[in-house]
Amino acid sequence: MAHRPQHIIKIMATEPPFDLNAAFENWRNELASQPQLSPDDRRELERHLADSTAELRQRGLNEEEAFWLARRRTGQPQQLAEEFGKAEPLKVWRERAFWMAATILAFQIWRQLSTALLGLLSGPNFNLDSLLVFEIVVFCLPVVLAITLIATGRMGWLIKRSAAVIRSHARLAFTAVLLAALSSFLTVVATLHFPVRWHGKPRMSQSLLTLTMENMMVPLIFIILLCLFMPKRAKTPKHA
Amino acid sequence: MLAKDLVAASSKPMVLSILAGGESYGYEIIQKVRELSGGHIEWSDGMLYPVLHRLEREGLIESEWRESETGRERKYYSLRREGRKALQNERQQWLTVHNTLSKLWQLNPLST
Repeated sequence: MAHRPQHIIKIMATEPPFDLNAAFENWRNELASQPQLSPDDRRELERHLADSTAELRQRGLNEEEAFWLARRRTGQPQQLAEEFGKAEPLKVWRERAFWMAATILAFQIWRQLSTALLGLLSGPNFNLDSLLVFEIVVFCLPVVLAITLIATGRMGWLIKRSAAVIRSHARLAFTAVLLAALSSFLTVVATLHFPVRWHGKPRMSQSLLTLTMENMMVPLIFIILLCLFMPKRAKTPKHA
Repeated sequence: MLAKDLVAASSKPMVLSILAGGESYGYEIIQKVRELSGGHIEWSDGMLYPVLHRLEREGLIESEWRESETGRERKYYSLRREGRKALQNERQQWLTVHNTLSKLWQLNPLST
């Protein structure tokens, strides 16, 4: 007669009991990582899963079996998110447009800052020609790449992670304006420092302020776009 | 198994009809469809909610979070007046299709 090794019996005996609450918590987290699902949608789906599980338990299945069957019937979070996304394509595109505008804005500020710092640090020997290569590599290529990724829906993971960070719309807009102002100011300082090398013709009669504002025009356009495309914050209903 | 487009097209009149009988919630609606169709129509659970949300956006139904018998909140849907009109419209269309097919297949037509 075959004798079962002792250590295998020990392993089988110490399997943790099924925790329904933990399973639901897991489900909640998986749903939360899908950007297409609003908090309201997620609540509805969780409720659905609970109803489904309860019904299967009534039919005689144990807690664990009922939960997993109900979960399978309800569908995988990824699939559900896709279905919900298809139903409201406008919401999905609005979100993507928001992120495209945010990316362009971020890159503009990055480009302004890096160019200005480069100019300030290089001193009077700053050469405008080498700047072109710098611009293409540091600005154009990454922007095109990022925009393409967002438009084709491949930056989903970034959107999920940042959604939690961007809590206040007003704060986001304010931060963006502040950053744009700072980088514009630095660009202007760099320009005025080395006017001859920078654009060929030194700007004599314009004040620091006007030049800064001028440099802020394009970033401001994108900040406005950002505000237009900001995803609506769904009202969170009172929890039972 | 029903063709995908047929399932999709029939979901609107079915949901509206079920809600015409009184308010309900997602899980209950799926159960009812499964019951009435003798198990032949099995809506995937995830499919129903986008339909409900679309109908709500179109102004045909409205929803409300209310306390269920178990104490936890649940989203209940009910038919609006516009929904009743839309249902009549759907009914006309489906019966037209049905009666035409019935004549072709030599079955008894249903009165509209």
